[in-house]
Parts: sequence; C-alpha cells; structure tokens
Amino acid sequence: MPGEFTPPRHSLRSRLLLLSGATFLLCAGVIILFFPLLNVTLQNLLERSVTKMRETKETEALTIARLLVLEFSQMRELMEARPGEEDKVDQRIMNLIWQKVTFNEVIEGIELIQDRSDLLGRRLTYLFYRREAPDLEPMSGPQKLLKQFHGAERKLLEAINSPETIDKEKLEVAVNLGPKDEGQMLLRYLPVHVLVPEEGAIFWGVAKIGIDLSGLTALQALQDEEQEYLRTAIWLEIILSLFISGILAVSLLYLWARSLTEPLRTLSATARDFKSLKSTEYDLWLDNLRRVDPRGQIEVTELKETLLRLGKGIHRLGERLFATEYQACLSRILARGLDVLSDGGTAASGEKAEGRTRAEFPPELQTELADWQHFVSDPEGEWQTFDLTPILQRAWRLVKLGLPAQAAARLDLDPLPQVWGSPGYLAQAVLLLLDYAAGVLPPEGELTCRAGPRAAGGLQVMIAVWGRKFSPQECDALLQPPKGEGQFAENLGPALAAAIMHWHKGELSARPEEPQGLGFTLTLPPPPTGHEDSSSPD
Amino acid sequence: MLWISKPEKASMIRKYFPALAGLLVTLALLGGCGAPPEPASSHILTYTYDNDTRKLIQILEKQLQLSEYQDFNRRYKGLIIPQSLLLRFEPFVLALSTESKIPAVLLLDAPWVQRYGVAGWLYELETARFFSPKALAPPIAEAFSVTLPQATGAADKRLVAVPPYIKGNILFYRKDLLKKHGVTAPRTWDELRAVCRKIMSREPGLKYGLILHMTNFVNDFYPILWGYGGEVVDAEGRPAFGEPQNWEACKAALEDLKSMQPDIIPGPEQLKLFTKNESLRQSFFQGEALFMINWNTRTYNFRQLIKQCLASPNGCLTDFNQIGVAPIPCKQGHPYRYSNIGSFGWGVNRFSVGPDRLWVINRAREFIQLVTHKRFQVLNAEMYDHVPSLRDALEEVKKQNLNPVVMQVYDQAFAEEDMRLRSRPYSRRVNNVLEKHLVRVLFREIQPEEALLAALKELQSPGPI
Repeated sequence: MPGEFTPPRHSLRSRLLLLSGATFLLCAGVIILFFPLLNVTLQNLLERSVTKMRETKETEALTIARLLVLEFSQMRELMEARPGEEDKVDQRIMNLIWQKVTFNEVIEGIELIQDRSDLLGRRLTYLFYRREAPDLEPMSGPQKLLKQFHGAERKLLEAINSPETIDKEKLEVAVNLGPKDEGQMLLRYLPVHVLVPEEGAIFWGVAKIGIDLSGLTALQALQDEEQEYLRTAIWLEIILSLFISGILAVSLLYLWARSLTEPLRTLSATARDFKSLKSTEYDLWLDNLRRVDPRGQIEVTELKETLLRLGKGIHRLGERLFATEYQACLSRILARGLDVLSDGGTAASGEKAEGRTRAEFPPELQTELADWQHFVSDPEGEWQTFDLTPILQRAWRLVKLGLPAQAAARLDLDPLPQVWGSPGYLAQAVLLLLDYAAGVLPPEGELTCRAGPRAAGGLQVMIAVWGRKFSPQECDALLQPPKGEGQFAENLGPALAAAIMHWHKGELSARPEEPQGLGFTLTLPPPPTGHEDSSSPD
Repeated sequence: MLWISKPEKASMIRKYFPALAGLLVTLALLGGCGAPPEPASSHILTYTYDNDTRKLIQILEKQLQLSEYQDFNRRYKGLIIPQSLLLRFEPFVLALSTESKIPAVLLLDAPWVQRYGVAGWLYELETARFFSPKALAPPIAEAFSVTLPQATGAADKRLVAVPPYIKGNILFYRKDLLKKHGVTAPRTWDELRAVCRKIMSREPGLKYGLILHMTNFVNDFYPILWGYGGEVVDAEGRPAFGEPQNWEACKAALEDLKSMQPDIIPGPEQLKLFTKNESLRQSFFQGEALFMINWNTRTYNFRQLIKQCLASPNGCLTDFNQIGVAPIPCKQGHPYRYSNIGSFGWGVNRFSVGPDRLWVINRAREFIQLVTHKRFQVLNAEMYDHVPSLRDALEEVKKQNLNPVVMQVYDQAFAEEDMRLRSRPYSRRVNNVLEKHLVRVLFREIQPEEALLAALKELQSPGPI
C-alpha cells in the first residue's frame, strides 16, 4: 500500500558490512579477472618466444643452406654429372657432401637433385644423411642414385626456377613439416646455380638440405614445462593473496564498521527505550541519553542534543499539563459550587437536598472557600506521615457542593491509618478523582466515597459513580495517558491521579460497577519504617 | 557560473562512478596486455653500388645542397659488386634464388629484370605504391614490367623495376648528308639500302653505308631480328628460333645483312677493324659511315669528340647537328621497329621484405624515389645525355631546353609511334651461343642456316664446360 510505513529490517552496521563485503568481492573478482588475462599474456609471450625461436632456427637453416648452395655454385663438376657408374666427378661431389654433413652438427643431410629427369621421372641425386635417430641405421656413405619424387615434394622441385603460378611457400610448408624417412629435421629446398664464366649462373638443380631440429624440440618441451609451472605458480599466488587479503579485509572491515557504528547504535538503543518508558523511568532514560558517547561523530552529537532537548521539553510539558489539568479541575469544582450557591436553582436544590435556608449560606461559602483555598495551595512540600482523613473530607465537601440536586452522595470514612507521602499531591489525586466522578455523575446518579484501612496495611479509598454504564476498556483508558496520534482525553484527572499514586508506591485501579457504574480503588501502602524525616523523594 | 548542488553532485557521482571505474579497468587491462614495442634499430637499407648514380647523388647532395639527398650514405649502404663477378657471372641470381635479404635494392639490367621478375624474386612496385608506371615514358614502362599471376587468377603486367634513364640501340645517321641529298631517315632495310646506294656513290668520303658492333653483335642483331618478326626465345626463356616462323625470320635477317656486304656493311676484312673498343664510334665520327647502330648514350661521346675535334679539326664531324637519330629499320611491311633496351632499373628484393621488416618497404620507396627523382634525371640528362625515363623530367628538359640532344633522341627515336623497346633474352648462354655462331656469317665463315643450326644444336645439348 503506497505511503505505508515499513520499518527498516537491517541496521547500519549490517548494511555497512554487507556493502564492504560486496566491495571486497567485486575487487577480488576484478583481480581474479586478471588471471585469465595474465594467462593469455603468458601464453602469447611464450608462444611468441617459441615462434621467435622457430623463426630464428629457420633463418639459421636458411643461412646454412644458402652458404652451402653458394659453395655448390662454385662446384663446376656438377655440370658434368651424369647418371651411370660413379666416376671422379661423382666422387668429388659425394666427398664434398659427406664432409659438409659429417663435420657440421647442425646439418642432418644433403641431397643434390639434378633438374633434368629421365623418362620415368627419376632425377640424378647425390645424397647423404647422418641419421642420428636411434631407430635408424646409419647410412654407409654418400650415394649416387636416380630418385623418384612424389607429391608436394615433386611439385616443389618442378616449380623451383620455373615461372609456374603455384604457391611455393605452401609446398615448402607441406614438405618441411612432419617426420621424414631420414629422421626428424627441418628441410630447405634451394635452387643450385653453377657459376659459369661468360654464361652467368646456370641452373643445375635443387639442393635439399636437412637441418637438425632436436635442440629446438627439446627447448620447446622445456618451454612448455616452464609455461605450466609459471601458470600454476601465478594461480596459487593469486589465490593465496586473495585469501589472506580476504581475511584481513573481513576482520578490519568488521572492526571498523563496529567501531564506526557503535555511537549511533547506542543512541538508537537509548531512543528505542523511550517507546516502553514508564513515567518513573523518565529521569533514568535522560541519564542514559546523556551517557551516550558520540566519539566525535557530529551526526550522533546533533541527534543526542536534539533528543535531550526534546526530553527536557517533554518533562516541562508534563508539569505544565499536570498543573493545567489540576487548575481546570479546581475551576470546575469552584464553578459547580458557585452555581449552587448563586440564586435560582441552587437555592431550591439546596433546600431540597439539605433543607438549609438562605440565611445559612455565608458560613458554608466560607467553608467552601476555605476548602478550595486549601487545595489551591502549592502541592510542593516535604514528604511526611500524615492523616488523609481531613483531605478526604475537604475534597468531598467541595465536590458534593456542586453535585446535581437529584443526585445522591454518601461518604463513609473509617478511621484511617497514617500514610507516607506528599499531602499536597495526595490531596490533588483525591480531588482529581472526585472531580472526575462528579463530572460523569448522571443527574439522578449516586456518588459514594468509602475509605478505610487495609488488612495488609495502609489504606484504601473507593470512589464509585452509579447511574451510567462503563466498559472495561473505558476504565482502562481512564488511567492511561493518551498515546499516539489522534487520541484525545477530555479529562486527564484519573491518569494524573494514577501517576501520583504510583509515585507514592500506591495504586489506583478503575473498574465497571454492576449494574451501571464506575469504581476507583485507591490504595496506599503503610508508611515505610525509618522514614521519620520529611524530605521528599527526588 | 554553473553551480551544482550537493545532492546533484552525489547523484552524478553515483551515476558516472561505475562507468568511470569500468573505463579505468578497461584501460588498465588494455594498457597492460598489449604487445611489447619493437626494439629500435638503425634500419640502414642496402643497395648495389653504382658509380654513375653516386656521382649524381654527390652533386645533388654537396653542390646543389638538396635537403632530401643529405646524409645519403648514412641512410643507404652501397654494396660494391666486384667487376670480375658482375661481368662474368650473374651474382644476383645466387642471392635471390637463395632468398638472401641482401641487397635490398638492386640495379638490374633489363633482361635480368625480366628473369627475376617472372621468378618472383622482385617486389611488385605499383601495388605497394612504390612507383606508378604512368609516371614513366610509355616505351620504358613496358620494358620493365613483367607478367605476374594476380590473386584473381588473371595474368597482368606489373612494374618490377624503375629505370632512371632510357638506353637502347638506335640508328645514327649523317643528317647533313641525307639532307644534302634530299632523303629522309629510312624506316625499312630496303629504304636504307636505297639511301646508301644513292649517297655513297656521291660521297667519296664515306667508306661504309652501315656499321654495327662486331663484339656483342647479338645486341645489334636482336632489334633487326625482331623487325623481321622473329624470336630467339619463347616466353619462358627457352630457345625458340628453331620454330619455322622464327627460323625463317632469323635466316632472312642474316641473309639480308650478308647481302649488304661489302657495299653497305663492311666486308669480312674490314669487319675485323670493328672488333676493337670504340672503333665503331670513331669510324662514324671520322665521317666514314653513313649509318651506325649503337647505343643512344653515344651522343655524349660524340659531343665530347666534337669538342676535342674543334680544337684540331681533322676531317671529323664538327657539329652534332650533322648527326641524326632514328629507330633501327625493320623489314618492309612489319608494323614495328625495335630497340634492344640497355637501361638498368632499380628493383626491390622480395626476400628483404617481411612481416618483421616492413621498414624496408618505406626505405626502399624513399631510395627509389631519390635515384629516379626528376631532379636526378634532369641533371643526368644535362650532364651525360641520358634520356629521362620520367615524363615530368622529359617535359622539364624540353621546356627549359636544357639539352636539345636528349630531346632529339627521345622525339626522333624512342617516341616514334612504331618504336618498341624490348630486352634481349636473359640467358647468357643463349646470347653467347648466338653471338659465337651468328657473327661468323658476317665474317663469311659459315652460311646463315648453318650458323643457326650450330647454335640450335649447342643450345639443345647439355652445357659443356
């Protein structure tokens, strides 16, 4: 329902802790987010280094191959090479190949492949491979043979030094990758041009040069291991640092939030006590409010000062209310008395009620005024042990004077024991109750007041009004001050009387009387022993 | 002044804080995970050293103080190629075929450009915005372009080298004598014969109608053969003169040359005189020949000779206006006349450019623009009679009349509508074998058909060393 007030369910401290926790989790999430990025960066870094190593190796292979080809270009015997039996020319070529392969650790093998091929597609080839792999038998020595080439290698050989429109790089990749019959190696295919004076560089064929890759493979394996180790180490470090920082953050945040919200929490708890505060605890509540330590928080200080000011104001307001209500009570009693004593109806009713004559009025008026003045005097005074009987009698006389003519009134006073308290305030309580009772008394109703000692000690005064029906709820409400917005009470007398009785450790109760009526019972405890002094309680 | 209240400020902070934080995190991530910067290097470009180019660069750098040519030597490293290697062998083949990154820029003879370009060893210049062929004079742009397969599958001619000047063999003639006898420069061999017959009988000082090189004879023979519609090699550089059409054209060209001996072309005995260095130009300068086939750059030599001759006249030519130039004649009815191109061009080694060496493209572009720049070519034209290859440079020379001889050669020879510049076969072996056998025809040692058969036989056999 819009506008309906929903009480808050979470304290500032729990909210602060929740927000701090959420902030920490967010930060931790961001930090953890770095891990995949770091992982990717590491992966790229290592991949780049592996790629760089591979490129360097390939460049090195190309350089070695180039140097060999430049050397072969000076070997004019190649131009005389023919298929068939080995001759001196072949020997020189094969010896050179053997030396290059045997005495260079990086070179795994060399094939010199002539450009021309026979009808079967075979080419004159000089080859020698060192074959260091354990599962391969070593070659007995350089060989001269007619070799047939297939697939991508054949295409590549045909494409070298010809303007064919094929992708030479793709073919090179195809034949360079993967294990070879001769062992695992990186291959380079370069054209061999033999330098012939006056004729320039004459294309002879292709040099197929195998470069050792074992070092690179081992290095790559090492890189993979290192990469895995690094990844694990970084992951563990991130988790560990997050765990430690999490514990630290939670601890510190809890302490900080607790310390920060403590003054407000104390103030809030003190303010909350006000809701269930009894009138006697009011001063204690104000003391508690004063004791709240703002710890330098300006908001708490301002709230505290405001509450204190309100508290003092309420106190003064209560005093004013009490005084006003009592004055109203006196005014009503006086008004009713004067009405009776004036001409007209008052005389008739007086004659009917008591059978008095007009000549007798002045002494009664004097008594009336004397009683009234007694109640008008300041209630403040020393607490003492006293007899309540005169007070009851004066109050009864004042109230009875203003009762309707048809109404019945009866006072039964037994000898009363002494009571301990403020004579002034107890007189006010009695008068307030009687005034209320007179106020609600129907014209033909009856008002009774009986007072006597109690068996348990102390005394009891019972004031009853007959002639009107009261519900138990009405009776309860009479003794409670109005609470909440919109509640209003025309007569606060019973509530104030109850407060005075409570103050005197006594009790005031209200109940419906059968068949139609309202009864107040006022009890006062016996005077406490040892209270011989007359000081009032603070 | 704009005031923002506290609640508004708080609202703005609440509104923009997540976006700001997100931006900062993103920037941090992006900044922290980028690739590491490339290490700086000196990036000095290597090129094949050329004396003539260096001379001109020095003039532009030191004398003319042109800013773009300052510190040329620091930016570009010239590699000197031993003459013994350059002239007898073809060292760049070894470099490029073995994918060497050095030299990055090469000065290549036109036939080499054809061979290396087709092999895919040279960087294509137009696509990479090195140079636009449209900036070159039409005949020369064609000569330095090769047919390359394109991504679309279609073959297309692409520029792979830029020549700084146009050099080709042309027909020199005695303009004064032709004018005196009321004839014009011949377009065909028949016309040349007719002119020779007409003038030589009336000019006793003339000993020869036409002289041509006896060393490197094939250089002069190729444009003659092309003018007969013959080819020596096919598109892939393999000998093709054994094919009937080419065979007949070769035979006809040789027969015609032989038939002009000894009345027009010197006979076997006199030809021996022309095997010596500078003998050809000296003979023409001395007024002994009516026509001469020679490189167009001989105009510079003639001008020098004329200067020397003016000091001590000895029956030689005294004015360059006595000399005229024209394309080498062709056979009657053939649409084109040809010149065997002798220009060198700057090409970029494809293997020097790679993903990690992109700077080479920029440096090579700068280098090529410097050594083919308009200022460079204009200076070359002024000083050495080199015909500029750039249209702009040609226009500059013409407009400012810096060297009329250069414009005469361009206008009357290379810019002729039916003139075509072609390069000789790139195979040294083909050239050497033809040279060896064909020149014997003029020395009357062998018949044309026999010479051709001998050359064909030798080229088809495995190369003896």
